[in-house]
Amino acid sequence: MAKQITLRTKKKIVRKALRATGFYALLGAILVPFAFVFWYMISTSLKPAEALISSTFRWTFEPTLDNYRQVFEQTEFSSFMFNSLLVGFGSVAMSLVFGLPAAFAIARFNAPRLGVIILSSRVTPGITFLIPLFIIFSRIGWIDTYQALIVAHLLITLPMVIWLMIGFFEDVPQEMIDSARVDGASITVTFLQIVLPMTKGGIAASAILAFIFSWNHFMFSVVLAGRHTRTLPVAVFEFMAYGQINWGAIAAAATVMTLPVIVIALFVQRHIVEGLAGGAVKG
Amino acid sequence: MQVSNKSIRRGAVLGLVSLMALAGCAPAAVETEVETDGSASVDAAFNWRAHEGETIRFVAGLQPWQEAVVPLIAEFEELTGITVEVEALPEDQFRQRLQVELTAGSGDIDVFMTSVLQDGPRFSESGWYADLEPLVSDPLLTSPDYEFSDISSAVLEGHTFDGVLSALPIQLEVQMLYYRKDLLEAAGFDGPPNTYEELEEMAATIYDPANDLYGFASRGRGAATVTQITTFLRSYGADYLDADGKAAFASDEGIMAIGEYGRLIRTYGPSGSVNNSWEELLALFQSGSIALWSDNSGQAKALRDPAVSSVADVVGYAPMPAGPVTAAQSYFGWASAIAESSEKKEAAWLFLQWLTGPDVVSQLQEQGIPGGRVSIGFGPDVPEEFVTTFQTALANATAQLPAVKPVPEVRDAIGAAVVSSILGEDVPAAVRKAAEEFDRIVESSE
Amino acid sequence: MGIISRVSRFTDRHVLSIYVGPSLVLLGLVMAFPVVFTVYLSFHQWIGGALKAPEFVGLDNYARIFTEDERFRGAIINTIALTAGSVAAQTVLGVALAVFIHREFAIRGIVRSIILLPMIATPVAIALIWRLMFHPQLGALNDLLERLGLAPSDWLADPKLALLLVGVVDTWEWTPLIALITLAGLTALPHDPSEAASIDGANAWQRFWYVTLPMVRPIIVVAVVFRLIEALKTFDIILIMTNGGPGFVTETLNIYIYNTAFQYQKIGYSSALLVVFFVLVLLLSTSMLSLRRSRG
Repeated sequence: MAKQITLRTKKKIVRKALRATGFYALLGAILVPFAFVFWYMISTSLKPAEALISSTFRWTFEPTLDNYRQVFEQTEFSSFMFNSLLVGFGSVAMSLVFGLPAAFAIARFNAPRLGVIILSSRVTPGITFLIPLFIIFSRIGWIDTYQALIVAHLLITLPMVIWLMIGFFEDVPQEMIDSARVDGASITVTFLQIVLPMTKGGIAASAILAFIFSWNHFMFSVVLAGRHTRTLPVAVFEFMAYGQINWGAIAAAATVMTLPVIVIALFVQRHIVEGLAGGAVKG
Repeated sequence: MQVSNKSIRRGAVLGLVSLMALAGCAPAAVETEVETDGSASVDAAFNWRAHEGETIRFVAGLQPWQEAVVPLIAEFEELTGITVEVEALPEDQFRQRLQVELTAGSGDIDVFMTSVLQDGPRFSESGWYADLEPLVSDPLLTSPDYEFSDISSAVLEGHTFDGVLSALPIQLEVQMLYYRKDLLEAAGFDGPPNTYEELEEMAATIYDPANDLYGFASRGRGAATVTQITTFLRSYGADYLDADGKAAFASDEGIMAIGEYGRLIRTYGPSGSVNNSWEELLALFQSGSIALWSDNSGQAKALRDPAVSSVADVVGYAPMPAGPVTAAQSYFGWASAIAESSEKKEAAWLFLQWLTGPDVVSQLQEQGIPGGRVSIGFGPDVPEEFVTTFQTALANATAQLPAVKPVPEVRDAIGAAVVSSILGEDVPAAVRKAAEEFDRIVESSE
Repeated sequence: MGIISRVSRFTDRHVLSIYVGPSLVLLGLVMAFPVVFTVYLSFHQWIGGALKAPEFVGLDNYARIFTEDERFRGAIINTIALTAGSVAAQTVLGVALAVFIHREFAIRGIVRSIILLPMIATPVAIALIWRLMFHPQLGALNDLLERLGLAPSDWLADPKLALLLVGVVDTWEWTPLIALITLAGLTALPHDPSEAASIDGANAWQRFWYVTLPMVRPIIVVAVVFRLIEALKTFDIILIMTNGGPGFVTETLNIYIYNTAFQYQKIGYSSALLVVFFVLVLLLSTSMLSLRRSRG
């Protein structure tokens, strides 16, 4: 009897191990396409120039930091990064100030149509705004200023913050709000002192996602930013000069550009998932 | 069309200039530091520091010329006390930026680079170019050392639209054939091809894709091909436009020319040609994969730079070969202009004349970047063969783009036909379709 | 105290205006002029920008779009094909992926981070990397093919493959969005119905299809609608990888409009195209939203 149990248990263990291995193998296979491109980007950025002018792809090479040096020496990369940060923080901050109350009111005071109207601002293609905004900004002397870019980026971040936060605010249990109101608190006080702290996670998630979308935005920057306010995505094109396409430097620029958001993502991936879910669950 | 107006105008300008030199008076109110005692003498008039302390903005695209000139700008700032804010952007972003700003009429741009063959007609129609003639012909505003007459008058004609001198040339290019001396020699040929048949023979002999060796390459990416097929068209006896301004490249000769261009690339070129523009082909040539490459002369600098080119010392230069009818050559050019909406035209003119003046042009030409001045030759570091090829080609060159207004749009239409040819599709049908599109586009732009 | 309580009672009564108003006004201000200007210009031809007045042409631009413009028709087809294909693929793959990793395992956090990467990386930069990967001579993919003994491909230069590859890159980039939203939805689901089903003898597939999926569907639909609206406007990756080529096979409506405005300088015509584009996207998204409501 004892022997049989052991055998069956052994079989069970083996099967479990096989399934686990199978799972991890499949998982690995799935993750390869996700990670491959990033591996490619980083390895290209470390390749010396000769490895890249060769007419065939080289898997092995002597790594060098030369491309990164070029990126920081030949462009005002730190200035670009500062600009991206400033515009990102600026537009996300404004989006929170305007968007949190708006999302709260839409969520809890029965105004789903207003939510749809705000989402419809995403329906308009970005090109629509390029020339008209440029005309307005040049008339009021806002070209090559941070405020111009922040306002333009609001078109991206504000609807996103509202769309995501509506779900979170809907999730707040009605009893919490009711009890506060019964105690005589106004809506504003309830909002500020009860609801906001409860939805901290969601706010963080929305803010981070909105920041990422602003960081990655390219079109407005080319047109509305000037020499002093140019943001990161434009930087990567500085290496496609007439003399050659400097793939190594482009890859290095791409890596440096993507690195901050990746680091943020790694640390807050849980919040981001919550953010997406909160926006979707009640939508 | 514009020819008669232009020559009349030029005559008038020359006449005016001589009149002014004799009379020695300023044509318009000018903020120069001239003693206003009534009889301003000619030699006390022009002053480099007339606009000291001002700031002007210069928008440029990334080009060899721009790369070479920007470090020199400090000299100008010292000379004049004017601060120059340079904004140099990659070509696509540069064009986009320029269009948006000029459309908005912002007044922030003072001097800008422009390609007169590509954008000239449209920009001129939009009124974006400031007329340079009053500036050039005013001795108070133009340095006596400027030697305007040294600039090739044929080139200047190409920069004049509806009688308005719109821009001044800064970087001239011709299409030429780059070839690998070592590969040709090893294959038993004693020089570059003189005809397309010889070219094909050489390409076929050397073509060895298994070892990453391609016989002949040229641009394949849609609109980018159009500047390169001009010589083919003319060498086969065709042209873009007929006397009535209608598309003429769908003639039998034209169809054959485009067909041959595509066939050569398809047969002897690297795969994926339809996505190759100069950037990709430059990299391939530099890495040693291409034996014969036709493209514009601006690429030469990058080809003979040993830091980026593994074949720097075996590059040869030849004019475009001959087709059944002739050995056509073609040119392309970049120029600089002053924005009509600029509020600092005189300061801008000081900058523009410095950019195109004999001093700067000879410095650039030392490096192999030709401006439009007839008297200035290339520097001693520039290979002899390049200089000969350049001059031979330029002497007979015609414009690389058709003389219509909506140039970018027709480039896309013609480019689509070239792409079809490279892919081996029905060439006559594609070319005829492109010609119809061409006519439709030109008509609807009037 | 009195003023504060009066103010808060005032805000309580007018919650919607005070809370939502500023956002609406802000968005309205920024959007108003561009939208009105674009509609206005769509009835004009405008060469020369601010130095010359636009020329009124009535419905001419619209007429030309619908009767003469072949590239417009091509662009619409490409847009719909690309969007439908990519979003469908992203949805299927995303849901499958979510289901696959919806379980306890050691490196869960890291896996989720890796999956997030494509969505967060700067599209412009990543598109350049993809373009290099697809390069017939310089890229890694052809090298891989050759090592495996297969024939190299032209990738983006092959007109038959180009649009498909753009779709592949788009799917690579956005599957994480669907996957993570679905995953979050799955996490929030109660386990009982699924357990009840398995007691009733349903196998894993049946459990998923008939029990789990219907419960998580509303969440997926919201994500898909959002993704759809964005996908119709896909721009960065197409501009960088192909700019509509070879020929016009990857030219979507957004790219066509961009080229019309900034390459050809036909601002009036591009404005008309923008209006048509806007109407198209609006129609598609409202019809999808109403679909969601009817399926509840």
